[in-house]
Amino acid sequence: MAILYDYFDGDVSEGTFILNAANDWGGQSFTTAAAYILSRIDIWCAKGVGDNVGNITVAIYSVDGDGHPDTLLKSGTIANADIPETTAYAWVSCTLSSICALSAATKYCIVVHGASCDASNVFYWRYDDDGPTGQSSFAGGDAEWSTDGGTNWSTDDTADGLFRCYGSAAVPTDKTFSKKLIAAGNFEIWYESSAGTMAELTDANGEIDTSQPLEMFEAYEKVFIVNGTNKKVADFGNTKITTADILPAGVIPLHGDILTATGGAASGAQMVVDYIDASDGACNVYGKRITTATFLDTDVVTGTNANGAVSFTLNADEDAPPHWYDWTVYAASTTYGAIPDQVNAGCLWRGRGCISADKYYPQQWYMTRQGDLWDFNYISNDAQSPVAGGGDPSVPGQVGDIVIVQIPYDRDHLIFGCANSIYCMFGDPAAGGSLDKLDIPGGILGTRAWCKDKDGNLYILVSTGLLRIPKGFGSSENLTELSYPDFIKDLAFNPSTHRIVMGYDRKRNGIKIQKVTLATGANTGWWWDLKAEALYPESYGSTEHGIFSMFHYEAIDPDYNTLLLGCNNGYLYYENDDATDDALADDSAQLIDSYITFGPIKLGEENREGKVNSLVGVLAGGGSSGTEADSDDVTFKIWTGLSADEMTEKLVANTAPKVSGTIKAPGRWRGNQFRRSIRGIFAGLRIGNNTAGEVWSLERLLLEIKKAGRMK
Amino acid sequence: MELTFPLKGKNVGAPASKQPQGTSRDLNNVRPFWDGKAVGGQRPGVSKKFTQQIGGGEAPIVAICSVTVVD
Repeated sequence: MAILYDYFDGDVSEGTFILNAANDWGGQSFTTAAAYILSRIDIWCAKGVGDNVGNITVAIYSVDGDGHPDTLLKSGTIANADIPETTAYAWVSCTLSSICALSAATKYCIVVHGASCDASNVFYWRYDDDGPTGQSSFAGGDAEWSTDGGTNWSTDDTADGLFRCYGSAAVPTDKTFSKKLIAAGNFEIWYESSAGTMAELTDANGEIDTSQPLEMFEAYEKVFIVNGTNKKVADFGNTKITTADILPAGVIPLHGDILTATGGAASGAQMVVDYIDASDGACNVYGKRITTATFLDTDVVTGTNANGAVSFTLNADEDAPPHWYDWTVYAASTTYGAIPDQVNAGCLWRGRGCISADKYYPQQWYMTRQGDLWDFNYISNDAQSPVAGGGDPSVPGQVGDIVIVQIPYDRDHLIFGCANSIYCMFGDPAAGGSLDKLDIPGGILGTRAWCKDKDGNLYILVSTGLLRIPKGFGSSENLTELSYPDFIKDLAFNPSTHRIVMGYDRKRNGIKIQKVTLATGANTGWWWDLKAEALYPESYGSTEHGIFSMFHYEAIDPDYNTLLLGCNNGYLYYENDDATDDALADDSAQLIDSYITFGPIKLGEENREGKVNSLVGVLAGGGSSGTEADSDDVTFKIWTGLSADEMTEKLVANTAPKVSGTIKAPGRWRGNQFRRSIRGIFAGLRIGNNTAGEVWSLERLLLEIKKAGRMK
Repeated sequence: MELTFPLKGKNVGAPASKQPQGTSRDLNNVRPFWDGKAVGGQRPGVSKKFTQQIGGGEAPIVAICSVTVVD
C-alpha cells in the first residue's frame, strides 16, 4: 500500500491554476523530508462543467538553480473521466508510468499540463495563498507557472499548489562502489563510461604509444600506465581543483592533508589531498572530496600540516573525474625523489607502485612508498619507505637478469620474469626482504605469459614449458614435459615477431594460451583444462581474432563478469557457450574447424592384421525437442596402416582416407552404422565439423574390429 | 571397441604404438566439457562483449584492466 510522504493540503478554498491552453503549465516545488520511491501524485483539481480536457499529464521534475522545473524524471496521466467538475473538487490520483527514486532533502517540482486544454475545456488545479500577506504557508517550495509549454518559468512565492506524494520506502542498497573497464588500443585509452558502454578518454588521445610495450595497473581508484617515456595516470576517483598559484604564502599541501574552502566563494567544500602537480605557481590539486558541497571558482582553500599553513585561491569550479595527467613525483618536486625516465613494467604490490624494465637500467627495480605512488624518495629505517635495488646496504640489490615483467604472486612474493631466469622478492625489501633466483630453468616468454587461477596457483610459460607454481610457493611443476615434450619447440616463439598471452577462465576453470603474430594477427593457441589437467590446441580462422591481451573482468553486472579477449580487430570478445561460430568485426560468422582423432588403434596381434568391420556413431543430444543439448552432424574418416607412425602421419595429413562419411545427429540414428571392411595393423579415425552455424559433441563411437590373417 | 572423447587431451610424448588411453595425437578447437558434461565437443565461439571498437579502428587491444571507484 502506498505511503503518504511529502504533501501540502493547505486551505482548499483559495486560488486556482487555470489551464486553458496546451502551453499553460502549472508547477509546485517541494523539498523531500526523506528519501523514498515515488509512485503516485494526487492533486486537488477539477474541470469546467461539461468540459473534456483529455488526458492531463502530471510529472515530477528536478529543479535548476532558480528552483524552476529542469529535467523530467517521470510522469503519468489522469483521464478526463476521472476528473470531477468544478462543483465538486476532489483529490485525483495519478500513478506514474514507472517509479521514481527521490533523494532526501532535495527539491523537486510537480508539473501539470494538458494538451487538450483550451478556452472551452479548462482544467483547474487549486492552490493556497493563505499565509501572511505576500507569503505562502508551505515551506520548501513555491508555485511555478509557464505559458510557453515549460520553456520559461516564473515563480509565485505567495502561492502553493495542493499536492500529495505517495510511495514506498527507499530500496536499501549494499553497493557502495562501481567498476570500470579500461582498454588501450590504437594510441587511445577507452573506459567504461556507463555500464556496458565504452567511450574514449579523449585527453589521452595520442599520449600513449600502443606500438611499444605498455602496462596498466589499478591502484587507489586510478590506473597507472607505464609505456616507455610515457608514464601516465587515468584518475577516476579524485576531484580536481585548480589555482594560478599554489604557494602565494605559507606552504604547499601534502599528500593526505585536509583542505577546506573557507573564504572567497566559501563553498565549505573539503577534500583529502592525493596529488598536486606543481610546487609553485599554477597547479592542479587532486583529492577525494568529502563533502556534498562542491568547490567553486574564487574559493579560498586552506589547511595546515607539519610544515605550516596552506592557502590558495581557486580559478575555476572543480572538475569531476576522469582526469588524465602525467605520473610524476608529488608536486613534481625532487623532495620526493625521481621516477626513472623509461619503464615498461609496472604493478601494485603491498600497496606500492612497482616499476621496472627500465631501458637504461634493465636489471633495476623501483618501488614507491606504501599507499603513496607519488613518493620515490628512499628513507632508511622506514618500513614503508620507497625503495630501489641496491639503494641502501640493507636493501636487496638489482635483479641478476634483464627484467621483462613483474608478477604480484601474493603479499609475500613478487616474481620477476626475466629474459633467462625467474627471480623472486621474498617479503618487503624495505623491511628485511630478500631477492633470490628461483630454481626454474629458462626465462619467461613475454610480459603476458602468465596468469593465476582461482586457487592462487601461478602459471607461467617459460622457455622450458608451461609451469605451475602452486599456491604457497611450492615447487614448480612442468605441465607439458611428459605429454608434449616438444611444446616449446613447436611453439616456435620469437619475441620480436610474436606475443604470448595467457588468461584464466573462472567460469570454465581453464587457462587460455595464445601465440599471436604481431604484424598480422595470425594465431595459434591452447586450452589447459584444470579439471581434466590436459592440453587442447585451438585456433581462430580469422586474423581478426588474434588475441593481444586478456583480462578477467569482475564486473558488477554478472553479464560482464567474464574473461575478456582484446583482439586484433579492436573489439573485446568473450567465449560464448551459445555461439557456434566466431563473430567477426562486421558481425558475420567465422566458422570453427574442430576435430579429434583416435589412434593409432592396434587392430591385430604382432604380425597379424585386423579388420575394421563397422563404425557406429552416437552424438550428443536426444532429439530436437528434448532437454539435452543437441549435436550437429559430424564427418568421419578412417585410415589403416602397417605401422603406428605411418598411421600418425596419415591422421595429421588428413588426406585419402580408406572410408569417409557423415554421422547424423543428434543421438543415435538408424543407418549411422557404416559397414566396410578395411584391413591393416593399425587404424586411425578422425571426426569433426567445419560447417558454419553448427556445433558438435561426441557421446561415443563403437568400432567393430575382427582378426584377419598374418601380415605378408 | 568403444571410443569416447579424449578427455586427457593432446599427448605426443608416448610412442605412437602406445598412445595413452584417453589422449589424442591430433585435435583442434575442442574442449573436454560440453554442456556441463565430460562428453567433449567443439569449443565455444567468441562473441563481442562491447559493441564499441576500441581506438575507433582495426587495431589490436594491447592492454586491459579495471578500476574500482567509490560511489
